[in-house]
Amino acid sequence: MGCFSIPDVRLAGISVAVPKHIEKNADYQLLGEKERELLIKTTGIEERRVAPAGMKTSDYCFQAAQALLLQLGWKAEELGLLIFVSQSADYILPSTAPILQHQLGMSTESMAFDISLGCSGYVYGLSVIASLLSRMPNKRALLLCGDVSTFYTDPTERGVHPIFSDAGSATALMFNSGEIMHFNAGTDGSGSEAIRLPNSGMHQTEESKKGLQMNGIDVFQFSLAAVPSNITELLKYAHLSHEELDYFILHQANKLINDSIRKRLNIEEYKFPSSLQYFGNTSSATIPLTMITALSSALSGASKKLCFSGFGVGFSWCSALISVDNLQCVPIIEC
Amino acid sequence: LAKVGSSLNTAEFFDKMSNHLDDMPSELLKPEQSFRDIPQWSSIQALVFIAFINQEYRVAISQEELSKAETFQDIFELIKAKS
Repeated sequence: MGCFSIPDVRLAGISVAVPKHIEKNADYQLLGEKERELLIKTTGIEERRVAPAGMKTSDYCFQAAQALLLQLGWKAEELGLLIFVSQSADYILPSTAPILQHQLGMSTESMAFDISLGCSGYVYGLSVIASLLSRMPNKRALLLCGDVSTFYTDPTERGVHPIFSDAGSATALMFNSGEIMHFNAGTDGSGSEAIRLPNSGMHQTEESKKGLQMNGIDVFQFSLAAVPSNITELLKYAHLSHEELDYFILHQANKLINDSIRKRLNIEEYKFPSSLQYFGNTSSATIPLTMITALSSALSGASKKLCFSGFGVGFSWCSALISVDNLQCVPIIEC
Repeated sequence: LAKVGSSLNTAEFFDKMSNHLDDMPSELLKPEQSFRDIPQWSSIQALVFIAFINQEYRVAISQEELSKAETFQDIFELIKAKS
């Protein structure tokens, strides 16, 4: 069991920016009409947001961060920590976090670095940033997560192209004595071939496949094997039951996977919000995106107990139990 | 869900499969049928099929195992062996 707790950190607000451009899976011509219908029914994805050439993940995260700071009334110089979680960074080097630190006008006495994770990245990122922030009583922090996955997807890959969508998110955190977050993390690199971008780094092969590759069946089996037990273990560790939680906000992989996890956990549908229909799989941005599009009014001015779970490429997975109070949700930004 | 194993019933399996694969011609959902020869078979249909098996029998069939199977009977035998 990979359970651990982090004290004294509060989630203050969230924001997400998405491209204006919408692609509809009903228009995906590489599938026949019946197959398109089955694709939409199975994945739950009708529309996806696609970034135009030149727009980077960091651009969407920057827009989300600026809007969030404005809504919270925070000044960039009050921030001491920025973490950028993405697998579509501006460069192999330098890291993107220092670029964002400078763009936002944060102090040079800040810690800023990248984490390379995909679908599990939001919850992993929360665990890392909260761990550091819990030792920085006077600091505030930004977690910036997302991907422009369409930069990597080949339109002819029928099992990949209709799934992925683009977004960048910002999450604001602050030191606040008395809070507690619980996490349960896992990793299984034996599944590293299931989702990958061939020849994208130093491991070069003769493989001719282009673009992001995904083995949908093995990803499904991994998700069902890893996620329900990870959440159940975490609830047991925190001495909480399903009934005591208000919402389970999971990474939005596809409808088949998410519905199967929900049924395995025996959780009611209304506690399991989704953003798949209009935003698809936006990698590490799906959890804040789902909160903003499905739960803004429920979270505004209220105290809620939330379970997050991110899972996917790696294989990597992590769940969290976090209480929020009047979480600030910036309306979704299109840019 | 009950462990199935040797008690797994062929007729019941194909009956449940027909209900889940409602986009497929029911007359082709029979043991000796090579599933890849069904015109409507696709990677999405394969995923729906695998999900049905996991949900109904808690048996996880991998992409590699599916690629080695030819007929629905092969899958049925695999479920029995892994139960």
